[in-house]
Amino acid sequence: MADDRKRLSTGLVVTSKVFVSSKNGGATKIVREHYLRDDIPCYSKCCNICQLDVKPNALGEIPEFVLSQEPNKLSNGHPHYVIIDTNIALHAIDLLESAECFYDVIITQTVLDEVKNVSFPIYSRLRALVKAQEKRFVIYHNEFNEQTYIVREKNESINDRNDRAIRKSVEWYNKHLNTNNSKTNVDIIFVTNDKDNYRKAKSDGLDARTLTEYIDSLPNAEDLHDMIPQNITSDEQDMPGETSYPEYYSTARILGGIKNGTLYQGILNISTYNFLEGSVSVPAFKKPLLILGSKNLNRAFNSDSVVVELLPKELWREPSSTIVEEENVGEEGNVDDENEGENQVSTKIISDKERQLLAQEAMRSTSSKELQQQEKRLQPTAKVVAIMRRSWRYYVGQISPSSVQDDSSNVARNCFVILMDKLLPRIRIKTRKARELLGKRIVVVVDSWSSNSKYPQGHFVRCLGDVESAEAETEALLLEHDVEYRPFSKSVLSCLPEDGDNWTVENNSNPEDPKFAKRVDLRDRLVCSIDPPNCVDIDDALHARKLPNGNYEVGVHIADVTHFVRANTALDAEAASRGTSVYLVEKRIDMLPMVLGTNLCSLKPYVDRFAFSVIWEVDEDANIVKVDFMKSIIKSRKAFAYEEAQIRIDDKTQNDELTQSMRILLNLSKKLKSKRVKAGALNLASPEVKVHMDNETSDPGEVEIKQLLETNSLVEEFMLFANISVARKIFDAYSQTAMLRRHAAPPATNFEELNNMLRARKKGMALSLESSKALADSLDRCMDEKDPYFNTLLRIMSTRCMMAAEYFPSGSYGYPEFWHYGLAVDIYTHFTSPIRRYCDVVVHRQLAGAIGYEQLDLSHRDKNKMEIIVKNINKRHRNAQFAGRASIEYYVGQVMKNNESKQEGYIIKCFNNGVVVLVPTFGVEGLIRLEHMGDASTSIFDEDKFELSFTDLKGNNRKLAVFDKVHVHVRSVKDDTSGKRKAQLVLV
Amino acid sequence: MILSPAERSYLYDSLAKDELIRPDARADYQFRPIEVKTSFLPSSNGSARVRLTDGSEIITSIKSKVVLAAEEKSLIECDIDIPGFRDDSNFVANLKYNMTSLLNKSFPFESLKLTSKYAFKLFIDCVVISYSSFPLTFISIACYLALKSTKLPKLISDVNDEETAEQPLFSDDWENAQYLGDLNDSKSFNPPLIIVIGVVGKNLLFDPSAEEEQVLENGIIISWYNNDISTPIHNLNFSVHSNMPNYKGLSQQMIMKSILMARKHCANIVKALDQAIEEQTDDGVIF
Amino acid sequence: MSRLELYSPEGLRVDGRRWNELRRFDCRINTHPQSADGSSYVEQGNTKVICMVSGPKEPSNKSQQNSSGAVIEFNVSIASFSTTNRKKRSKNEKRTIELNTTLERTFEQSIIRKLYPRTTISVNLHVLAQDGGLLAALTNASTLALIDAGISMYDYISGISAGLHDISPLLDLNTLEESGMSFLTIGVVGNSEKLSLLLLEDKIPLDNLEDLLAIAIAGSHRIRDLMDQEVRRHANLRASKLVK
Repeated sequence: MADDRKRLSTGLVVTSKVFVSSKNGGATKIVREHYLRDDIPCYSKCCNICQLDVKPNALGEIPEFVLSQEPNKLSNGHPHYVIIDTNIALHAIDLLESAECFYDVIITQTVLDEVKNVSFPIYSRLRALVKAQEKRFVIYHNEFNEQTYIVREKNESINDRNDRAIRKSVEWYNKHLNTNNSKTNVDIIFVTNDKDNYRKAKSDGLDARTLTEYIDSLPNAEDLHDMIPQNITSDEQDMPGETSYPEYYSTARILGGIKNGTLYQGILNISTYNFLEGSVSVPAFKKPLLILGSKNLNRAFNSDSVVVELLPKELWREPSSTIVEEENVGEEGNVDDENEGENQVSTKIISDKERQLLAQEAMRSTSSKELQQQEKRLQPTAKVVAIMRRSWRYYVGQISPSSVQDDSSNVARNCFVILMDKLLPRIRIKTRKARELLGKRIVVVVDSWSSNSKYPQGHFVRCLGDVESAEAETEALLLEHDVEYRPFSKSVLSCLPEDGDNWTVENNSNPEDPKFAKRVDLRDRLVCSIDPPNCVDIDDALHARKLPNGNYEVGVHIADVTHFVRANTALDAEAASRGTSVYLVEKRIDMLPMVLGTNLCSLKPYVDRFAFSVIWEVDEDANIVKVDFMKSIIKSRKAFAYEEAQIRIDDKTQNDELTQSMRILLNLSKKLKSKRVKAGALNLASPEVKVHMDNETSDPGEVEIKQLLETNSLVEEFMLFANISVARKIFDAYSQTAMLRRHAAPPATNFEELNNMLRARKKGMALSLESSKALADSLDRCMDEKDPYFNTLLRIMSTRCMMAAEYFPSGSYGYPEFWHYGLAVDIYTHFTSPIRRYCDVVVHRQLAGAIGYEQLDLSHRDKNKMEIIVKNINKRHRNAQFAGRASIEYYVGQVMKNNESKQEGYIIKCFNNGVVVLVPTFGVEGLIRLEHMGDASTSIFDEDKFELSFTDLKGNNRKLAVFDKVHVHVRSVKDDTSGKRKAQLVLV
Repeated sequence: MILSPAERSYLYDSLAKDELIRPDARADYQFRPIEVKTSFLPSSNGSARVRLTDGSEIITSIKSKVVLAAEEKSLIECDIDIPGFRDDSNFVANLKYNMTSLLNKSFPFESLKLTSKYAFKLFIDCVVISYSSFPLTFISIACYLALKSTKLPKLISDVNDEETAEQPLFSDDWENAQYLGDLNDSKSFNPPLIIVIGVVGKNLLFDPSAEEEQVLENGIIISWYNNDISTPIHNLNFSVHSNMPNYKGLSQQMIMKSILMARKHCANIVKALDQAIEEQTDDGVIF
Repeated sequence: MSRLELYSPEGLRVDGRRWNELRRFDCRINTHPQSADGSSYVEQGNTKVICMVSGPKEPSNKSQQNSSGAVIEFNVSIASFSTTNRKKRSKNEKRTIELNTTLERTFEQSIIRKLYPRTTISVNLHVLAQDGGLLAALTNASTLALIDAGISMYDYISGISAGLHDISPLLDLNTLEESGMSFLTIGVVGNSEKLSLLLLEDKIPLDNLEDLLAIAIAGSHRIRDLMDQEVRRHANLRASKLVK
């Protein structure tokens, strides 16, 4: 049954594909039909025949012929198209995306499928390139073309067969376009880095080139050279005798091991304080498994998905109480060697049975409480035996000056790049421009890390600018946190209303429109908004008035973003991808184009605006009598800043209706808050600081800790109130797919260390975790009469023990799991900020569906699609928070650059070779090493008491312990190697 | 179809004669002509179809599965489905029991072994689309043909997995799959067969037709494997729908005679089947 | 998890067909002349179905008799080896009973039952292989076998499946496609646009339903033509044997 083709009456030829799938250890015979046809177009504008036989797709659209009639020329003047091999797509994707090269590229279906199987993200990027059309990429379905379909020969490997299929397509394109079928002759260039394919293609008479050869043949070859990835061509890459990492296990062994419980899969987390220590959380063990030392880490990066194997009991260790940072690991790796002795790699061969016994012991030691006394902190250790999925992405870093050679020749040389993310190793790249790039922030990508190379190999992508320049630092920050900051594309902007900034409600009120008819006119209500000073994107506005029956009518009005952002438009897709606006100190990366955020959607005062309103009738004690949701038109009377509003409310001479309604709101908000606190809402403080920028020089001037006024609380309470009411409504309508937000209760183990510290250092204080109310109450009780700040400190440390809140579709969890621990409510969502959060956009659409305003789009009713949306917005939300914090850290660092000062600090962590101090004024944390405080040889570290005693530089005995208040000199110091600016604290 | 007493007596007499005469002029050792087709089910490892001129039809499929050898009682599982009969009816249960004991007794199980832990398990499913006489022989013929044309995927991961567990990995090219026969060390691979013999007086008839069944005095089934007699061997009452009014006891001479007859003719049957497999055209069309 | 491009932006499906193309359709009638009054064999892609009709005949239970017309009985038996992974099915599985009932209801209207009072017509279907479009194949096989048995019908009932991928309708789905999108099966009466069978088990938005039905009905008409071709071919063959 080798090649049984049947010709059908419709002109198609059907054959069958038979193969064996080894999934799950089985041997399943899979048979699929495969239809071959002769009407697949070549997509070239040069072609004379394909355009005559186009078939429309299911929506009636005709395929667009994208390949240019006058494609770019090589340096020899020939116009050309490119056909790429799989390895080019996998390793040089940024070159493919670069605007400098690779236009008119044909990707065969064989290559696309191979890429999809190896790396789905790269496949998505290829598809995005095809869709954008700017670079004129096309997918050519060679597997379905009768003339280019290849049948596998006996004993031919699948790779060889695929290579043959790709070569056949190159041949076909050549013949198709260059033998009188087309208007101009076009060179078809086949680019491949696979030696075998290259050789065979050349002998078949095709114009095959390696990536380097192809780049060299372009007119702008010089600029592109550095971006060529390194791992695949050069052989002189491997430094002989450098190091040897153990090879990864084969797939069969990994699957077998995971199945019978001797190998475990999990995400690797590198410890913040010890660069050579990582941990992997595995469900089978209560405590995470430790991975110690570079050999055991075996080339795994932070956040990689790895497979680990337990080490024999002799090698189990305590988690390190030493601080180790990557910078201190010199190029020869001195620090490595020290640890090497301690963390030996096990080379014994043990059988599966022994492994299973080991696993049982490990489980016992991590869970049992009695054993904890004896082998107190002995944690099982493991080694990485395979990487399931790499978390590699674009990285920002700086060239290490010591790695740059002194010669001024133009030869590409190896040098090291130290990354901004200090949990990652340094990358080796090859570049000609090393000297030029010193002192600049650059973007690099990792290509590979082979077992005989001490460092991962990568290549240069682009330069961001000088280190410490605001633009470069901002861009670096955004890149590191995967924030999309490029300007909105044309297709996105075309979704905006034509009137642009001249849009008014008047011009867009069409009484014939059934949807407009459903809008309620609330322009008579005295609506006002309260926001931070100079706020231009006003999401929310409020109003309140007394009703004849003694109750109050309260309204929360939210910008009607979904009126402008329709589902399934480019604008919606871009907003969904960004997920949230990102707030840096000096810059804001908008989720939606400014014309919407700051004008059309923003509930500016004095103009009519569309809004989505929640109107409650509440009684004196803020109990809900009834609630209504409606799309509305409002007219805000005034936009207050928090302070302004507070002043107005407090001013007894102001008694107009607007002020009165504000007072009603304030009273009700106080009642709402006390109800929440009674139910157990948590009030945790975080060291939020605000950086004041000097208006003229835009240099950071001063750092201020945010103060909370009553009006802050007013707005916050009503926003929470609205979110809760909306959550109930959408869950009621869409029980499987409502977009909600939950906050899981923290497991007791998270608070273990903090409670241990309290027990050791502060008699009688403990945090109870029975419920959020218990936690809130116990937090309230932990007061130190001598130091009022201690309570705040404790709250800050508690925040770090909390679980992260997350978005989820309501079908993913049972109702009890909807609980929001921090707010102590049974169901919650985000509804009140659709201008800056995509979750709220989805909730608006769902609420509109729930009240019957308009049909809810399918994608928000489909559980799978909601899971995808939710996963993305959770990620973006996290990244935005980190980016925001990193931005504050940077600017605070700049402020400190100009002002060195003496500040109060509190010790929050204690190691045997240093302490970590939190400085509340700046909201920064810094590490102080023992050697900078005193004589390391005199130190005694008491783990149980969290106390470090030593003789300081002045010869006095010092005892430092957690929670102690200390005085420190705060200075901002820049490290030349990494370009990182850190707060340097010196103990006084 | 029911015979009248006259017909029955006529038939009995002609079959009981020394020089017996069968209604369709067959010799006593001759089988009815069958039409054979193999490998037409794409999703099965092996398949066969057997059809007789009176419309009886049996389709057999063989599918393999990778299992932990220690957890399985037997590496072959046989299932028979006859529309109109419950799976637990005597008829079906009886057929299944015979086929299962036949296969479990006489099959080269080593050829199914993959590694020290894993092995292939074969699921043999017979669907009897229609039948006129007792279908056991044809079921076993269909199984024979299916087994002979069964291909199993080739193992490419390590055979020795005693120390470290490895999930077996197979070559993804179906062309690399090997016939069951080739996996076996011995030169020829012939699955077992069951021959159905009717007893009338001193005569033995191979493959009694539906009418002949009604006048039989008894029935014997004999298994054939590796060029010799094998078990199960036992006597059976063939008719399901009507009683065999002539039913009598079986003398040991008849048993011996049947063994001799089998020894004399079964090899030819096997040869004929093998030839039928080879002569097939490879187009996969069954009608 | 379908990471396959079930319908690529270039308009090609996972097996190379376009959105409105049928799979290979092959059918034969009178395949089991001795064991059944009417028989047929249908292959739609890799879905293979044998159908055998016996009747009109006397019902086995006197109680089943209906003096106004024939009683139609469908019996689908899905072989355990019909799917990629073997699955043993019990005779009384819900799915099987559902198929039986659906087919009975479909053909009740098309068979001229009043011509055969107090009789039973039993249709036995054997599914040998499944690759999507099962109900459609069963419908087609039943139509052909009933014609072969000479049982009077008003018209052909031709069945086809069609699904919705995002917003694109796709005709005649195989197993991979069926598991990745909502789909429906229809049975069309002859050349008209009347439906004798419409089965939808997932959710499809109302706005897309019309387009989906349009292409499905067009597909059914093509199936009907193919079936008719086979019936005439067979009839001509038989007729040629009669005439000297």
